[in-house]
Amino acid sequence: MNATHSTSSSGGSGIGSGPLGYGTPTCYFVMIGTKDNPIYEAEFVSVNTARSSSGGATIPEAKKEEFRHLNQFIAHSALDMVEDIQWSTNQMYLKSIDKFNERFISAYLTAGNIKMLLLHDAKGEDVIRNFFNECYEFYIKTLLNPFYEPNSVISSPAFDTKVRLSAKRYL
Amino acid sequence: MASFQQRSREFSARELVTKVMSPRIAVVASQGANELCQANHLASVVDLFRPFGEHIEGRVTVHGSMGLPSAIDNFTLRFTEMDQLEEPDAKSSERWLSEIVRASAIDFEDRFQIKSAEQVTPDYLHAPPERVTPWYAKYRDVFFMTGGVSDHETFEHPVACVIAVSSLSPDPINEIHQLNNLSTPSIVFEKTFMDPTLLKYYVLIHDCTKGNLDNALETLDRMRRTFGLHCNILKINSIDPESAALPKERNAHIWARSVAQSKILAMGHAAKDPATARNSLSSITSTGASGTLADLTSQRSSMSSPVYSTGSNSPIFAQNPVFAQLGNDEEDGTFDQEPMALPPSGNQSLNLDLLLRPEVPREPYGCCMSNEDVNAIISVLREMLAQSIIPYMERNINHWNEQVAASRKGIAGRFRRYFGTGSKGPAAAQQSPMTGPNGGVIYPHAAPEAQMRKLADWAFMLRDYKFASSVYETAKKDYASDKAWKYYGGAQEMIGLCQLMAPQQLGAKNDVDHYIESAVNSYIHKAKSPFFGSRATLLAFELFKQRNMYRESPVTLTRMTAEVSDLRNGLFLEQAAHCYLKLPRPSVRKYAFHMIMAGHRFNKADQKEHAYRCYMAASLVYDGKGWGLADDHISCALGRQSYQLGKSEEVLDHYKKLLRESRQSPQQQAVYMKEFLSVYRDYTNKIEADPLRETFPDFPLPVVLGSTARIVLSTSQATNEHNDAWAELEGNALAASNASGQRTISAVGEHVLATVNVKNPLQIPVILTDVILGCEHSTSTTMFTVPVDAAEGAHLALYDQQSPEFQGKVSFAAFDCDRIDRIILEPGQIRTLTFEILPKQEGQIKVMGLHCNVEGQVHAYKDIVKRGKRLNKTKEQMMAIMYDEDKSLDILVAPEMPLLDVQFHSSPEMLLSGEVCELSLEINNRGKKGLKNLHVRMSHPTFFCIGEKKDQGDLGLYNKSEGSSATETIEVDNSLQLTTSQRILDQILSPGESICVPTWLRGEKIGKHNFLFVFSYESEQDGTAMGTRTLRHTISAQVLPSLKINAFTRPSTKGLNEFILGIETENLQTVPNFEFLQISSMSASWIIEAVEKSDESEEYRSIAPRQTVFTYYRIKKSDQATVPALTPERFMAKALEKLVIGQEKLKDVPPSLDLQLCHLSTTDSHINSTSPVLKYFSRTSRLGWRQVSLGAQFSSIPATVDRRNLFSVYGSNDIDLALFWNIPKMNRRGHHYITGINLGVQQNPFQPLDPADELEEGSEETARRALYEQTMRDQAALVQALTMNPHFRDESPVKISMRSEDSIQHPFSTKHLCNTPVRVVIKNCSWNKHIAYTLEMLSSKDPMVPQRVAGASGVSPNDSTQIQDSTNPHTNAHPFFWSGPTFSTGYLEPLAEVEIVLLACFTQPGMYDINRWRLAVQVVKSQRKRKNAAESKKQIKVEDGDGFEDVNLDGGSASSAAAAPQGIGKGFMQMPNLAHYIQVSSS
Repeated sequence: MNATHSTSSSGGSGIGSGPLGYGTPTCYFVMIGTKDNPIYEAEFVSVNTARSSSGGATIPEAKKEEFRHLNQFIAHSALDMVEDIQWSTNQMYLKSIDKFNERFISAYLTAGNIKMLLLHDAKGEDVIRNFFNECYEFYIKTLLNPFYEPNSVISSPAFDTKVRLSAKRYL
Repeated sequence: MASFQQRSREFSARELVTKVMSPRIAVVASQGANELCQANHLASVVDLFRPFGEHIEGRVTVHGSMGLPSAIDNFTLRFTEMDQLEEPDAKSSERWLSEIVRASAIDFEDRFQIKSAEQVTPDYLHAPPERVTPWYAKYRDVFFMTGGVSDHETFEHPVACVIAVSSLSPDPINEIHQLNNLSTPSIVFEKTFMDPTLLKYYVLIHDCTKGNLDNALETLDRMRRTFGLHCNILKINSIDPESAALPKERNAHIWARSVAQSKILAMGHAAKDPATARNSLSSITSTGASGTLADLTSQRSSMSSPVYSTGSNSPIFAQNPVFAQLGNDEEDGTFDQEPMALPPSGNQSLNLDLLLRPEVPREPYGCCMSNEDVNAIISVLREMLAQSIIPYMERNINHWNEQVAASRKGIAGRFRRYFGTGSKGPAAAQQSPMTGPNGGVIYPHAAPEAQMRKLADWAFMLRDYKFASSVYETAKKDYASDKAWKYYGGAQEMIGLCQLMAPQQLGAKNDVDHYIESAVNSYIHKAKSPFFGSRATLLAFELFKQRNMYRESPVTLTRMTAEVSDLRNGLFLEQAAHCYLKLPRPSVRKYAFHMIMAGHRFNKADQKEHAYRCYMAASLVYDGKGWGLADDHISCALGRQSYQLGKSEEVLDHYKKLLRESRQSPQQQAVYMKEFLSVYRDYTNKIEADPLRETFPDFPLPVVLGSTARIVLSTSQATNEHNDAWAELEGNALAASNASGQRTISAVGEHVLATVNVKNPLQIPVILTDVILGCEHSTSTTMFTVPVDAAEGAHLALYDQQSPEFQGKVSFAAFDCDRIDRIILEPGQIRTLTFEILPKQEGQIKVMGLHCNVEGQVHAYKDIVKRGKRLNKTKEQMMAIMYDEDKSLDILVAPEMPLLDVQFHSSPEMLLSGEVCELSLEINNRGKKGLKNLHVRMSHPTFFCIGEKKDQGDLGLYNKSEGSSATETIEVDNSLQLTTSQRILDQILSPGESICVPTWLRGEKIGKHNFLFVFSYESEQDGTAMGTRTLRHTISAQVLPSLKINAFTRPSTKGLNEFILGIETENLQTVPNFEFLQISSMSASWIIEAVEKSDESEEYRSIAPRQTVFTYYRIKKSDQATVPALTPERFMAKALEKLVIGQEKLKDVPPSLDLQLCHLSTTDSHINSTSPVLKYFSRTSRLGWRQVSLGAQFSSIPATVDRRNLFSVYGSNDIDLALFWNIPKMNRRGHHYITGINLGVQQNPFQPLDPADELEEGSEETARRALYEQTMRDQAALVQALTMNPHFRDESPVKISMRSEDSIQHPFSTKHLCNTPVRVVIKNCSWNKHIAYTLEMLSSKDPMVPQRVAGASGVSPNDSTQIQDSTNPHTNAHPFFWSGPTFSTGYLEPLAEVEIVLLACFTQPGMYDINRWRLAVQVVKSQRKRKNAAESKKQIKVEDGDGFEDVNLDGGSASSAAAAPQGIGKGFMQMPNLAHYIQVSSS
C-alpha cells in the first residue's frame, strides 16, 4: 500500500528522471480543504535535508523554482491514498501514505476533513506527528476567527509565521 | 469469414500472449511461387499465408509432457520470410510506431471527460480499451511485430521452414533442392545460438487456371518420394479476374492488414540492409498501379494535419525568435527540433496509410482466389500444423526433456553441471557459454542451458504452462549463477507469464509482480534490453487487466519509466492512469497525475497531439481547485502544445490563464508574458487584424477594481474626510438629489472626474498605454439601454480618432474624455486613474469600462462592474446573494447650470479664543446660467457670521455710541431655532459674475477646527433635471486660548433679590496685554451696575500676561423689565406637560422676549448692540450653549420630539454677559460670552402645573384622563426621568432678609431691657409656586436643628459638642430674647413678599447675632383651594399640640392663608447661614 511507485531506480532514475520529477530537497507542506482545494501551502528548506543533500549535486535556485509545481501534483495525487486509508484507522495521523521516487508523503486528517500533507525525505514519524499536531492546533485557532470562512484560503501572516516556526523546530 | 477480422481485433489477453508466443515458421519460396501470388497482388507466399496462420480455426490435440492429450483451440503460426528473421531496423520501427501513435490521435475525441469519480461510469469501465485509447492497441500490435531472434529465448526462432515452389516450374524438384540449399546457410544461422536444424515442409503451389492439375499431382508424388511425407499441394488462382464477374475486392479484407504490416516490416529490414531494400522497394512499387498511387497521395493530403504536411514541426515556431531562443534552454525539450521527421517519401506514407486503415483495402488482394482456394489454404495449414509441426514439437519436447531436463533435476544434476562429466569433444566447444556483445553471457544452441530454455519455450507454445514453468525455474538458477542476466530475466518473465496464463485463480498473495519486476530489472538495468523489458511489461499488463488486477498494473507500467523511449513511457503512463480509474474506488487524482506525466513524456517524444490530449484530460481534474502552480504548468504546457499544433485560438485561451496573480517567480511570469505577446502577434498577423484595434476578449490584465470606481464632480473638494459630517450637513440637500437615484448629476460643459483603481496582479511591471474610459451616451435621461457592442464601438471610434496632434483627450459627439498615454504598473501595485469627462450634450453618460493597450501590443477592454448594496428584504434575496443595481457610475447630464465657486479670503490660520476676524467670502458663478437661492449650511454656525452684500457699506462689528454706560431693550426671538441653512444672496448671480460677501469668524472654542460648508443653489431657469446643486467647501483654523474668565454670583446682603457678580479674568497669553473694554449684560429681568470702585480704573482695563484680575458688579432686577404674560418658564412647563400626557403635535414656539441690555464700558463710548453680527454671535453662542445643556439635562426626551417646541432660548431669570476686549498692539479684538447664569430659583422646569394656573377646568380633565389612558411604559419612564432629573435640585423659593439698625444706643443704666424692632422680609421668588411658611424666631439659647441642615457652615458634622451652635460660630456672650410673637405662619403667592416686624430684646450691651430663626416652607396649592385648606386647618392644629398661638401681624389675606399647608409639594427647612450682627452699646 505504501509504495505505489517502487524505487526501481538505482542510479537516481525513475519516474522523476526527467525534469518533471526533479527531486527538490525541500519539505512541502500543504493543507487541503474538502473540495481538494489547497488552503495553505508552504515550502521549507529543512536543516536536515539541506545537509544531507549538500553532498549531492547542488541544485541551482532557478531549477528549484521551476519544479515547485511538482510538489502540488504529488500532493494532489496523494489525496487518493488518504481516502483509501482513512477508514482503516482511527488515528488522525495517517503516517506515511504514499511515496514518489525518494520522497514520502505523510498525511494528517483533521476532524473537519481538512487534510494536511507533508512531502519529505525519510524522517522520523514522531517528529512529523508533532509538527502536524501543532499545525492542527494553529488551524483550530484560525477556525475560531469569525472572519475566517472555513475551507477558504488561510492568508493570515500570523498563521504562516507560526507554521514556519514550528517547521523549523521539528523538521 | 466475415467475423474473421473482428475476432482478430478483439482477442483476449490470453490469446494475445499465445499469439505473440506462437511458433514461427520461416518461408522460402521460389520465384515462380511468388509470381503466382503476385497475380493476387500479394508480394509473396508469406503474404498469402500470413493472415491464415494468425488464426487457425479448430481444435488440435497436443500431448503434454506427461503424454496426456489436451486440446488447443485456434492455434497461431507466424509466417516469416527466411531473411526477415532478425528484428527490423530499430530506428525505422521506432519511427513507424511513433507515426502510428501520432496518426491515431487525429480526430480522436475524448468521450468520457473524466473530472471526478462521478464520470467513471459503467459506460467508461466497460468501454473496450480500443475506444478509450486506440493508439495503445495499435502500438502494442505493431510493437510485437518488431521483435527478432534473440539469444536468450526461442520464440522468435523458426520452428519449421516451409519451402514453396510453383507447379508451373519446369523442374520443381530441382528448384526445391536449390531453395533447400539457400535456406540452410542463411545469415541468421551463422549465429551460434541459432539451431539450424528445422522441420522442412514442402508446398507445391498450383495455379488452377494456368497449370495442369495432373502434372501437379504427379510432381507432388515425386516430392513425397524425394523429401518424405512433409509435402503438400496448394491449389489457388482458380478464377481469372479479368473474365470473372465477381468483384475483385471481395477477398481483399483478408489480406489488407497483414500486407500492410509486412510492407512495413520489409521497410524495416530494408533500412537495415541496403541490398534487400532495393528488392523490397521494387517489389512494392511493382504492385502499385500508378493510378491508385496518385489517388492515394491526394487522399492522404486531404486528411493531412500539420504533422504530416510539414515534415519539420511548425515552421512558424522556428522562425519565432522567442521560441527559438526558448527551445535552446528549455529543459523539457518542448521545442527541440528532433530529427524525427520522415523523409517525404510517397511510399512510406502509402504504407502508413495502409497500416492505419487496413479495413479499407486499396488493392484487390486475392482477386484470383475463389472460396475453395481460400479454404484450401486453411486446410493446408491445418494439415501442416496437425500432422507435421505439432508432432515434431512434441517429439522434440520429449527428447529434450529426457536428455537435458531430467538430468538437471535433482541434486546430482546440479553438481554434474559444475564438475563437467561430459566429453570434451568437439561438442563441448559448442556447448560452452561465450560472452555476448553486451557483456552478457550467450549460450550456444547446443548448450544444455539453451536447450532447457528451448524446451520450456516449446512447452509454452503448446500451452503446457505448468511444465514450462518448472523448466524455467530450473534453468533460472543456472542463469543466475552464470550471471546471464538476459536469460535470467527471460526466465523470470516466463515464470510470471506462466502463472498468469494458467487457468486457475491466483492466490491472494501471489508473487507474479515480483517475477515481472525482477524480469524488467534484469532486462533493463543489467542486460540493457529495453525491448524485452517492454514486452514483458506489456504482456503482464494485458494479463493483469484480464484478471482485473488494476492495483498491480500501474506499478508494473510505471516501473518501465526509467527506460529511454519517451513514447512508450507516455503510453504506459497513460495506461497506468486509466488503471487508477478502474480501481474499486476510482482514484481520479492519481489518474490526473499520471496523465500529466504521460503528457510530459509524449511531449518529449514529439507527440504533441497526445501531449495536448493528456494535459487537457488532466486539466479537467485540476480545474477550479486552486492548485496555482500546477494549473500554471498545465496552462503553459497546453499553450505551447496548442501553438505547435496550430490551434491559435486555444493558445490564447491557455496563455490567458497564466497572466494572473500566482506564486510563480517574476522570471517565470516574464517568460509567460513574452511568450503570450509573441503568440498574440503571430495570431493577429495570421488573421490580419490590428492587435491594437481588435479587443482581446476577457484579457486578464489589468484587474479593474470596479467596486471602488467613483464619479465625482470636479467642484467637490476634500472628498475623503469627514464623511459623516458632510452627510449630516447635506442631509436635506441629498434627500432631494436622491430622487434621481444615486446618479451623479452634472451639467453640460462641466467637468466630471471618474476615478478607477486598477491593479497589476503580476510580479512583473506592466505598461499600459492609451488608457481611456469606455463611456456610453444616451439622450434619454430616464431609460438607459446600451447596445451590447457599444463599448466596442466607442473603442473603435477612439482608435480611429488617434492622430498625432491629439492631446490627451478624445472627443466624441456627446462628451470629451481624458486619455492617459502611458502608465507603468509596478508588480502588485494598485493605481488610481483619474479621467476627466466633459459632457457636451444633455442626456446620460454611463461609464462602462476601461480600454487600454497592454505592453503596447494587446488591446484589452475591462468592464467596470460595480454592485449596489446587498439586498436582504425578501426571503429569496436572503437565501441567494443578490445585489442592488448600482447607478453611481451613471452621469446625468443636465442642461447648462450655474456653477458655484467660493473662496474665503484672508482667512486666518490662527486666532485667539473669542477673537473676531473679518473675512471676505468670494462667490463666483463659473457656470453658464444665472445662480439664485444661494444657501449655506455650516458645521460650526457659532463661529461664522456671513453678512449680506447689501450691508457692506454700513455693517460694522463694534458700533460705538456715546456714554460709558447705557441700557437698551431689544426684542429677541426666543425660539430655540438655529437657522442651520442661511441664505446668502437673494439676487441672481449672472454667469461669470463674482461678488464678495463680508464674513466674520469668531474663535468660539479652543482647538483645531475644520469648518465644513455646504452651499446649495439653484439655476435661474426652472424645471431643470438637477434642481438644487450643492458645493462643499472646507477651511480650517486653530483657535488659541486667550482669556480665562470665571464668573460667580452670590446674594447681596444689601437687598433681598440682589447679587454680587465677580468676574475673574486671567490672561493666558504670554506676550500681549489685553485691554478690557466693556461688559454687557443681557437678560430679561436683570441688569448689572457697577459697584463703587476703590481702585484705579486703569488696573481693570489692562490685564498683563499671566495675570488675573477680579472685577465686581452688582446684579439687580431691572426696573423696566416687563414680565410677559407667558413667561418662558411657564411655556416650558406647559410644553413638557403636554409632552408627557401625549399630545401628539407640539406646535407652539415660545414667544419673543424683551431683553434688557446693559453696557458698562471702561471708556467714554460703549459698544452698542446695533450690529447684526453681534446679535448673531450672541444668539448663536447662547443657542449653542443652550442646546448642549438641554441635551445633557433632558436626554430622556426622545429624539423624535422637536425641542424647539419644548424649550426657549432665554429664561426670564437668565443673564448673559459679554466681555469685550482688544489687544491694541496686535490689533486683535474680540469678546467673550458668559452664558447661563441663572439667578432665579432653582427648580425643575418640569413642574406639575398648578391647575389653577392656566388650564381650563375642562381641558384639565381631558388632559388627566389622557394621562390615565396613556399606560405605556415609556410614558411612565419619561415622567419618571423628568421628575427625577438629577440635573435639577429644587431649592426653596423663599428668600428671607432681616433688616434692623446696625448699632443701637441704649441707656441700659436707665432701662434694663432694650427692645429693638427687627424687620424680617420674606419673599417668594418662585414664579409659579404658592407656599406656606412658618417662621420661628429662636432665642440665643434655643438649639438649632442641625440634622436638617447638612453641613451648613463648614462645621464638621461629627463634632457633637458644637452641634448646638453649629450655625452660629460666635455665641452671643449675653443672650438676647425675642419679645412679642416669635412664631409666624403665612401664605405667599408667587413673587409675593411679606414683611414681619419682630422685637429683639437685649439685656446688656454687646454684639449680637440676631440672625437666629428657623423657617419651614411648604409648597401648597393656590388659594383657589382655600376652602379645602381651611377645613383641614383644625386637624393640623390639633396635631401641632405645643405650637404657638397664631399671630397675624399682617392681617388681611395672610390670616386665612396661614391655614395648614396642604402638602402637595416639597417642604423646605431654612436656617440662617450668615450672621447678622447688631451692636448694642450703652449710651
